[in-house]
Amino acid sequence: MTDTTARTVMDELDMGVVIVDDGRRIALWNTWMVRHSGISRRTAVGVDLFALLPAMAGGRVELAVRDALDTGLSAVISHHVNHDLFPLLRGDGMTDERVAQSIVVRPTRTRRGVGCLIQIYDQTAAVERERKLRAQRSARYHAVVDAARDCFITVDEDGAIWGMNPATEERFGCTAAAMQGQPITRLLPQLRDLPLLGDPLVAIRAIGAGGKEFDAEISMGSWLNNGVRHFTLFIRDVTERNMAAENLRRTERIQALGALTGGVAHEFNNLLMVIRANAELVLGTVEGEAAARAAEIVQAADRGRILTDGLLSFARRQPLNPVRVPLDTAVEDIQRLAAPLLGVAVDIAVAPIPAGTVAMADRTQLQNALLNLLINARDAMPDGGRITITAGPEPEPEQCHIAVTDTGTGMTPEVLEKACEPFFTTKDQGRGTGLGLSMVAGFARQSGGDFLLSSRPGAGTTATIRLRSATADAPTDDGNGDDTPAPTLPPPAASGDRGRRPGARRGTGHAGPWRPPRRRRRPWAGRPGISGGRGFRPAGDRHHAAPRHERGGPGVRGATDVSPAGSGADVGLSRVRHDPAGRGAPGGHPAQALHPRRSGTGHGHRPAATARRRGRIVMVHGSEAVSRSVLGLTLIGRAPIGSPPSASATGSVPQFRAP
Amino acid sequence: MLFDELERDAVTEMLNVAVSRSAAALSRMVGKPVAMSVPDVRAVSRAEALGTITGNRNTSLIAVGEQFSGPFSGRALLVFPEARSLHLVQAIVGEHLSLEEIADLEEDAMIEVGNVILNNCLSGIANMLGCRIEATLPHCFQGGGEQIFKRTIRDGDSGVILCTSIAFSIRDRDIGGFIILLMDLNAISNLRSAVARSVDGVRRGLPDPRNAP
Ligand SMILES: Nc1ncnc2c1ncn2[C@@H]1O[C@H](COP(=O)(O)OP(=O)(O)O)[C@@H](O)[C@H]1O
Ligand SMILES: [Mg+2]
Repeated sequence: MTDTTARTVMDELDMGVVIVDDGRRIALWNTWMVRHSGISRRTAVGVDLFALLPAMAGGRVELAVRDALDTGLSAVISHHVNHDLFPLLRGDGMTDERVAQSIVVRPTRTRRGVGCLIQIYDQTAAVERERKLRAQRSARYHAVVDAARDCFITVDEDGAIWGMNPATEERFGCTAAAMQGQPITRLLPQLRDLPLLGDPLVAIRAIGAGGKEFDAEISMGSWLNNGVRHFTLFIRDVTERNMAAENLRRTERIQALGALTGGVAHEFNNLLMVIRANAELVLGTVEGEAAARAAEIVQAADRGRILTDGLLSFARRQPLNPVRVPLDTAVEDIQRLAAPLLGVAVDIAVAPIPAGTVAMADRTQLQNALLNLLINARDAMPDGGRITITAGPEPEPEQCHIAVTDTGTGMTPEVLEKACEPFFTTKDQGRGTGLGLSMVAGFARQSGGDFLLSSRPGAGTTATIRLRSATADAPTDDGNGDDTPAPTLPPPAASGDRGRRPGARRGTGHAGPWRPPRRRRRPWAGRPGISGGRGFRPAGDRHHAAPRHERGGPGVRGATDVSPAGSGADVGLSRVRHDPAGRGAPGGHPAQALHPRRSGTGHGHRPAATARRRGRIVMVHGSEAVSRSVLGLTLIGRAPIGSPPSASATGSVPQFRAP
Repeated sequence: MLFDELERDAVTEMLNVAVSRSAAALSRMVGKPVAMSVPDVRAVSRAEALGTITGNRNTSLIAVGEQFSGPFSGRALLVFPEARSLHLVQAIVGEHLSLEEIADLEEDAMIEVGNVILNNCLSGIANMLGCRIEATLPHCFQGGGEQIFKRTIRDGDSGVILCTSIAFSIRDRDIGGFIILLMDLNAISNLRSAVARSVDGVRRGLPDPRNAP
């Protein structure tokens, strides 16, 4: 091949060719170079390359030329890495885009000795093609990943972050740009142990933007990129799912507990009644020491009865007698009833109750429930405070509520979560049984409503019982419900339920002579120091102008609805169906049948509910004697004036206190 | 003992000069300061070299190799764990590119970076020996350590392997890799005598320990 043919071939090439001699002077400058540099061959040849193109002096190409000439080394130079290579324009008549070039520099020989060959490849088309491909690829990728609500983070096998989607930026309060190259542990410190990378599924507690914690479920995909392993972390917030699962677990636990306690309480109750009935029989026939002991047995059985009642309520196996209960009078009653229990430091106020708010519920049980709430409120305010009772219709049709709000200590989320479980108490032994709220909740649900508890530590508590509203044709409370004389107030010793005055226990227990309750007719309502509470605030007082129990209202921020709604409903039902006592039997209203007899005992205004329950027990045992004795038990809220203070004292608080 | 301590220092020093020239070239390319250093040079067996670059783990590596010939011949390899190499490439081409884009550029960029570094090392050696070395265009190898060695430094190869780690720092990123020089015996003895010559100069300047009081 002659020199001329070689030249011609060079000029035909679709690439730039430049040869410089050992003095860096241009010996060859092919046509492609002329076309794209705009520098004629005449101008170029014989001139120092870097004098001709001073912008390139000191740059990568010059170093490569130096190495090639001085040492004999070769170099590749890529447009990816270097930005100012040969000042070449595409010159295709359409754009004056710069030529993306990759350059090979290698030593060569010229006629005069050592030289350097520079080959310049036009990569513009390839660059454009790559760019399009990448754009397509990333468009698909971004369409999926950027729209995702889950977090996507890409890391390499060292745990360095390579990328993240907008959901991640939002969730963790960071920017992809700032996190690039940072260790993944900056976002997820728990992943410190790198072996975790590659685990298919990792569940951790993560901390997102603003320190907000959440349960993160991380599934990991791994892929190889040019032999390097990368991981894509899909992070999903499963806090809600976990919470739902936890609720379900709790509900199941309570259901199981309910089934168990219900069964035990029921059997136990029957035994208690036998014990009590026999003790009463003995009581009627003996005198002195023996009578006192028998009376103690009766009393202990009564306390046991209250305990089992509580358990039955929780298990929703308490036979209920739903009647129309106008909430205004019910609240009035309970206010009167509870005032002496609450002590002087506690104010109680009632917000105006819309007239005609009538619940469908068992009156006695409702009052028990409210008493429980009031006593809890009192216990939460050892230094005094205010209780606000509100009641009224619910936004949902056919529903109403009664709520008790206190300004007490409130509950931590942990306590709140457990508060309605039976036997859960934070109170000292002997002061709390932990049955109160479980009973209230059981009653509410058994009545077709529910029970909501919202509380924050330091901010007080609102307990809301929601009930079905009574329909117009619903039965009323035995005709005497609303004009029932004020229920007997428990004696001051009832305040001893707080356990603050152990010495003040009534002499009905261990100390002192005991007389059968029935013979004891000392009304205590007029005793000094116990007549009525203090500081009934007028309705509309600013403290209860905004009832706090309203869901979503400002007062319940952070509140937890701990009502295990729906739990155990079927437990109660199935038990009823199999109940040999015939509580579920159609048409069987043994209570009604018994009622006259009960009136005959002198406690004429005992409500049907009580009677009915007693009636059931009578049925179980089928004994007149038992029935009479059982009916002798007075329950709070319905205790006739003159009923034994001891029974009232215990009965007023459906909590069992060890004698 | 291939080199005595002073000779080894001299070789290390020479390579340090070489890589700092590479660093200057790279920082011009990147437009950011680049620091590079080689802490020490060791003569090792093939197995030792393999153990060093893999860290005895089964990691994927990327290597850039050049073959050189002339008064002495051999191979020069720059080796990085691949995950590191991506960081290196990212540091060089810019943070704005995504992982995929960087992976696309990886080979190009690595070849060029390796080329710059190895050429500077080779020209440093050539300078020291006062000779020309012809080197081929760089090639890129990917895979496990053994895979890379199979294609570059064969078992039967006679010669000496000089191995040094190289520490980079670009844009606050620290990236560690290795330089492996396989030299034939002729090359190594040339290098030794060249080193000895320059070390002699140094020794002459030092007080003779035997004359020391
Ligand atoms: N109004 C309230 N304020 C603060 N804590 C309460 C309130 N009501 C209930 N609790 C908490 O819930 C627990 C359970 O209540 P409860 O079931 O009535 O049982 P007890 O009153 O016997 O402890 C109480 O021990 C107390 O910690
Ligand atoms: Mg309680």
